[in-house]
Order: sequence, then structure tokens, then C-alpha cells
Amino acid sequence: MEYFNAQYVLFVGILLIILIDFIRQSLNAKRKVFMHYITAAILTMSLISTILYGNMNIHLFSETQYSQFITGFMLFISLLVYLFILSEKKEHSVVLDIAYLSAVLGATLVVISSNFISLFLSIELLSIASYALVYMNKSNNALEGAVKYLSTGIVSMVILIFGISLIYAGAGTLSFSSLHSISYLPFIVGVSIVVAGLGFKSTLVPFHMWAPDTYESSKSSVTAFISSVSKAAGLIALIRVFFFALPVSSSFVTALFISIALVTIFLSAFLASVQDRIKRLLAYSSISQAGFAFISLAVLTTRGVNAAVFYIFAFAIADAIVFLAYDIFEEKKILYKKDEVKMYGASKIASITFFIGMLSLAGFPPTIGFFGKLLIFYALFSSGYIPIVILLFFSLLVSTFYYFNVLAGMRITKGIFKKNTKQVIHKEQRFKEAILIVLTLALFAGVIFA
Amino acid sequence: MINFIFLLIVPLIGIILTLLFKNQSKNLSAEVIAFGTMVATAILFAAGLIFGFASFGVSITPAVDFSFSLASNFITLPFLLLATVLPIPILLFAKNEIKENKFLFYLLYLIIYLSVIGVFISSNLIVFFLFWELAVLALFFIVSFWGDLKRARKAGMKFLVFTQFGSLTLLAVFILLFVYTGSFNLQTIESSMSAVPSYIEYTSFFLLLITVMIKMPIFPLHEWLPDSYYSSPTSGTMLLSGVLSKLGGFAFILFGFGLFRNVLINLRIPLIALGVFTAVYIAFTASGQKDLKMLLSYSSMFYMALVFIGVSSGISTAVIGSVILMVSHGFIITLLFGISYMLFKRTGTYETSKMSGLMSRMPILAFFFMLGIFASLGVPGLSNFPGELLIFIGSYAVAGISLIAIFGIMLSTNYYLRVLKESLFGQLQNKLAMVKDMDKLEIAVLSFLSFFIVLIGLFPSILINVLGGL
Repeated sequence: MEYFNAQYVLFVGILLIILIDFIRQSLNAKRKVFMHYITAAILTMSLISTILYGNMNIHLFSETQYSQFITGFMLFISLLVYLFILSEKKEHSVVLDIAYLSAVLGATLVVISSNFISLFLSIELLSIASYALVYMNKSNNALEGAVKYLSTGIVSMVILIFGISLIYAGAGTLSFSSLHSISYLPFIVGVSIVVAGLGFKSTLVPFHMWAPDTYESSKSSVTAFISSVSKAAGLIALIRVFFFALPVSSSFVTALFISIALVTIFLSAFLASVQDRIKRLLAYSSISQAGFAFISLAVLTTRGVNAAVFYIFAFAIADAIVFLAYDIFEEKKILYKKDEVKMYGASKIASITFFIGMLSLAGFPPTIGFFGKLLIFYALFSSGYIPIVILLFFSLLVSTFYYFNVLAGMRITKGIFKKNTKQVIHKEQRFKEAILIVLTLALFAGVIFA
Repeated sequence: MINFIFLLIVPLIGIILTLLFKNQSKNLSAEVIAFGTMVATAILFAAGLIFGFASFGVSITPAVDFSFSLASNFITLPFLLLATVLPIPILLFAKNEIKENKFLFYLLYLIIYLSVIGVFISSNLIVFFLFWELAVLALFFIVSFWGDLKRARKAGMKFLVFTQFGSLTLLAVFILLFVYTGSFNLQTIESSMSAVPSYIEYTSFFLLLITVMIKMPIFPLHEWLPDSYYSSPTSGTMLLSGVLSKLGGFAFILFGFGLFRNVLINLRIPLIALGVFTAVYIAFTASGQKDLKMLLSYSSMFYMALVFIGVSSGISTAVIGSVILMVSHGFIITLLFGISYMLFKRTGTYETSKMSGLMSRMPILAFFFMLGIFASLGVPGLSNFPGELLIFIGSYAVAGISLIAIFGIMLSTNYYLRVLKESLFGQLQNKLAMVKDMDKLEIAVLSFLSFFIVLIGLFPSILINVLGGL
């Protein structure tokens, strides 16, 4: 079973879908639904193969300590998000399937790439597929969001490749295993530029500007994918480059990382608390989550990286929950903070899962977010960054404020005794709610990985 | 032997039952389930006092010594009395007060009940923190959902943000302890405190102090208290002042006095001075209040400042006094808030200057009101007296300035007697001519509370004996 890895399965699956679609069109068959089932089956199969056989292990790509776990949870989240997108009533085009599978393939390739070129190509694959996904929501400003995403994405890719070329100029190689740190100016500049390039993908301040607009204009279920799997891929790439490849444990890098992370966390916390639209609030909160994962990477110790990996898992799953739950609310036209009163009426289960997801993002026990933050604080403390943790507490206070501003307004209590408000609950909504429940259970079960 | 786990299992069963029977409003309503659960737990606690308690432990991840373990420490039992018994009378007040969304209210109520017991008996710091946060979260929803409509949400948010900061600093203390001792288990940490370098001890102590000062609360971090005490429903206020504020004192004794005793003894003079300042400042603030509920909120803070003085003196006598004062204050303040709520229900106002001469219409209420106020003032034979006495004896031995706080007691005598004079004595107003005295249930509840007040006042030795290990 040497070739039964997730990446091969996904790749063969994409080719298969293109082929079947071609045959289907030449036979003038009308039914498209089964194509989606094939896509779902491919995702499931790749998830199973990751769990059983791990990742692809060839030249340019190699398995590392965490990669099996990371691809596992990425595929898990992508599968559930895909099922959620499927459950919409309207017909989807086959392009969606192909774009989605390519994005997932790109994300899983980022995790295992062991060379700057393969890393760059994987991120590019992920990004191009994501632009298409964002645009597929045919709403008023989908084009705006997609164009913004595309233009910043292209700029970031150019920056990234520029950084990579500078590193090549310094080190003479692009393979992660043979890189070594040298004090050659272009090399150091290249390292900083690579941070900028990858920072775009993982929405670190000051490269975060595209995120709120893109998140807002794309469909919430797509946002769930972008903000969890795609962002996780960006952060994992940072971990891969700076922890496993470049032995740059200099004080300059640590200071740079910590300052970027602190600015990210604080700016996003304050911007989130002044937002009116729930979705923008969630977007900024998602930015601050990336900051937390990054600060734990910044200490560049094994503990820090462990914490970062676990935290990426924690916020990815929580972000997926809140955005998917918000998708249900969005259909019911709950857009602003003042509408949150209606949430419970819109869907009981969605509002409860939304609540739990927010608790996890805010870091309350016994959710997975709490254990993630615990590990981060532990990593920071054991490296002696006590004042930074105290600073983080203040940002957490701000975030507690804005999360609970939404939660307290939900008024879960209001609806409970108004029995049967004569709401027809569609089958598809039941299906969506079931997905949310599965994700929420995973949120609690994930604690065992801590 | 009663295993500690039963004290958690019984409320958990109650929570599950509440969830199962949420639509049955007649036979098995939420308040009946909550009441039965809490009585059963209290009986279990009483049985445990007679037959002794057994510890409990299940290892979850042995690698980091994280286990779900419950054990008694040197101050568990008096606080457990408070946590198991006090919510029962509060529930009976809540029965009249909470009219909407009973199911959710009693669910949250049972969660608070469970988590406060959990905090007092857990011997693993992560479990401790888990229960601690759960209590804060549940209380936040009680304050903001059932409170005074206009201000409750803001007050709840203030409460949450303040106490969340306190929780985070407490978490930081736990992680620092873990980094240097390699364990989350309280017994293991106690035995390996020598491995902790002194600057870490100081850092942890200051972080702990922030937690305590927010939770108790102590000047200058008391800003959240007036709002949340005033805006939450009376049963929520009772829970806050009777049970939740004791968590701060408990953490201060358990960690500040138990683990960081050297630091505490080095810093005792400034800490006592802070406590004295808070006591006098709050006594002045309380004197200026016209509103009975607000006045009681500030007076509750005054007694917590005395507790702070007692613990920071770092002497066993004063710490024993603080524990007794906290337990007795829990009962007294519940009684007083209960009476203020009854007065509000009957007269429609919390302002004592608008009521007068109620003595002639409601003699039984007047009796309990006086009992509560005299107990609060520390009249010998009632429960605050032994606590205050021991605190002053103990703290005077290390710092004479603690006696300045007695000036605060004088001030509180002044405002308490003013309240009595304005509300009970004088000419009965016409519009109050028809007020009714307490009904049987209310008499039973207040008698239950008074029983404990008199019991602790007459026989403080029952608590002191339990605290023998101090």
C-alpha cells in the first residue's frame, strides 16, 4: 500500500472527476449530483488513508513529526465543510468539486513539503483554488472579495518567491534538510521576506487587510474552509520553515516574531470589539487566533511548536464551527450584532454549537481552546516570557468582552419556553446541524491530543 | 466513609434530571429537582462529617501528572459547609423571585452549586481551575439574563471581564508552579515548593494577589462589585456574596497562606495596610448609601476586607478567624439580602428613608432583621464575633495598624443602626399600612439561616476544631 496516501488519492480523484465530467457531458447526461458524492467519497477515502498509511513520502515531500496529525484534522474538517456545502439546495457546478479538492490537496501538500519550491507550488495550488471558491458565491460583492484576495495573494506570492530567491542566493540550496544559517545579508533579508509572504496566508498583521473583506464577501461555509484549513496551512508552513528548516534561533528572529504576534493579537482584538457585523467580528477573532498560534511558535522550542500545532488544530475546528453555524444564521438574515437575539429562533442546535465554538475561541474550559491556551502559556513560561503572558491576558480580556457581547445577546433563554414556534425546519438544515454536532463533539474529544 | 466524588455525582445527577425533565412543569419541576439534589448533597456532607471523607483520584495523563483527584485540604470542611448548605435557603428565595425561564435558571444554579463544591474539594490545580471558571461563567449568565433589565448586561460584562482577568492570573500561577515543580497535584507541589526559586515565588504571589483582590474584592479592583451586586437578581447577589466571594478568600488561604507563606510573611505589613484602607474606605462609602441593597453590597465587601487583613497577617489564629468570619458572613449576608428583598417586595423600594414604622406591621421580619444586623455587627453570641475577635487578636500581634479597621466597625454600627431606625421605627406611613408579615416558608428559611448564625456564635469551637491542622 505504498501509494495509498491522502495526496495520491486526492490527485487521482481530481483527474477522475474531470474524466467523468467529460464523459458525462459527451453523453448529454443531466444528473450532476452523483459527482458530488464521488467527491465526498474521495475526501473520506483520503482521510482514512491518512490515518492508516500516513502521508506521501517522496523527493521534495517528506513526513515530519506532526504531519500525519495535521493532514488528518485538515481532511476531517474539509470533509465536514464539504458535506455542509453539499447540503445546500441549489445545484453546484463540478468546478466547485475540482476547486475544493485542489485546495485540500494544496493544503495537505504544504504540510509535508520539504523544499522551498514544493512549498511555494503547494501554497500556490491552495491559493488559486481558494480564489475560485470565494468567487463561486454569486452574491453582490463576491467579485470584490475574490479580486481583493487574488490581488493580495499574488503580491504575497511574488514576495515569497523573492524571499526564496534571496535565501537561495545565500545558502545555495532550497532543500530544508540541507539549509544552514549563515550571516550573509541577503539571506537574512530573505528570511524576513519569507515571513511576510507566509504571513499573508496566515493573516498576520500587517498582512491581514484582505481577510475581513474576503471573509465577509464569500459564503460562510467557504469562509469556514479558508479560515480553518487554509490558514492552518499557512501557519504550518511557517512552523516547517522556521522550526525544522532554518536553524535561526537568534534573538532577532524571536523579537521579530513576538512583536508581529503581539501586534496581531492586540490590533485584531481591538478592531473586533468595534465591529458591527458579526461576520467581520469573527474574521478579526480568527486573525487573533493566528496571532496566538504564531506567538507560541516564536519561542522556537519543541514545547512551543507542540503548543502551536495543537492550538492550530483547536482554533481550526472552532473557527469551522462558528462559521458554519453562522452560515445558517446568515440565511435567516442575521447579519448585525443587534440581530443576535434572533439566533436561537433561527436554529436551536446551531446557536448552541455557535455558543460552544465561541467559548472555545475565547478559551474557556473545558473546551479545546482552553487547553490550547494552557499549552501556549506553559511554553511561554518555560522559556521565561512572563511579561508577555501578562500582556496576552489583557488582550484576552478584550476578546472575552467582544465574544460575550455576542453571546449575552443571544438570549438563548428567550426561546426555550415558547414551544414550537411553528417553524418548518428543512431537511437540509437538520443535516447541517448534524454536521455541527459532529464538529462540536470533535471539539471536546480533541482534548486527548493535548 | 463518604467518598468526595459523591458530592459531585449527586449534583451532576440533578443537572441531568433537569435536562431530561425540562418540559415537565407540574410534578417534577426544575426547582424541585434542584432542591432535592441539594438536600441530598447536604445530607451526604453531614454523613461525611460523622463517618469521615475518603479521597478520590483517577489519573488522566500520567505524563504531566494531570489527574481528576479530590481530597480535603486543611480548610476544606468549613467551606464545604458553606457550599453545600447555603444554596438551599437561597433557592427558596429564588423560587419566589425567578418567574421566567426557570429551567435554565435552575440548570445554571446547579452548575454553580456543583462547581463551587468542586473548587473546594479538588486537589488537582487544573480541575480546580475548571470548576472555578464554570462557576464564573454560569454566574455571568444569571447576572445578565435575570438581572435588572437596563443595567444587567453591562454589569454582567463588567463582572465577567474583571473576574476573567483574575482567573487568567490564577491560571498563570498554576502554570508557573507546574513549570518549576512538574506537577499539578496540590500535595506534590506542597512537598516540592523548595524547588521554586524565590523570584518565581514573588511573581506567583503577586499574580495570586490580583486574583484575590478581584474576587474578594479589595480596593482598587472592586469596581465591578457595586454594579453586579446591585443589578443581578437577589438570589444571584446572595450567591455572589455568600458563596462566590468566598472563593477568593479560599484561594488566598490555600495558596497564599499554604504555599507562599514566606512571601506572605515578608509582605504582611503593606498587605494589612491595604486591607485596613479598604475596610475604612468601604465603611465610609457604605455610610453614604441610601439604598439598602447597595449598602449591603458594600458592607459585604467590608467584611471581606477584614478577612483579607486576617489572612495577610499570616498567623494561624487570624487565619482561623478569617475562615470563621467567611462562613458566618455567608449566612448573615444571605439573611440580610433576603430581608432586603422581602422589604422591596412589600414596599416597592430599596430606600430605607421611604419606609418607616414597619415594626408594628411585621414584627417577625423585624426580629430577623435585627438579628441579622446585630450578628453582622459582631455582638457576642452571634457568629461574626469569634471571627472578628480572632482576626484582631492575630493581626494585632504582627501589625498594630490592623486595629484601625475597628474604626470601620464603628462606622458600620452607625449605618446599620440608621437602617434599623429608618425602616423599623418611627411613624408608620399610610401607604404601608397594609403590608403583610412573612409567610411560613420565609420564616422557615430565615430560621434555618439564624440557626447556623447562633450555632457558630455559641459554639465556634466546632469550626476551630475542624481547623486544628492549621
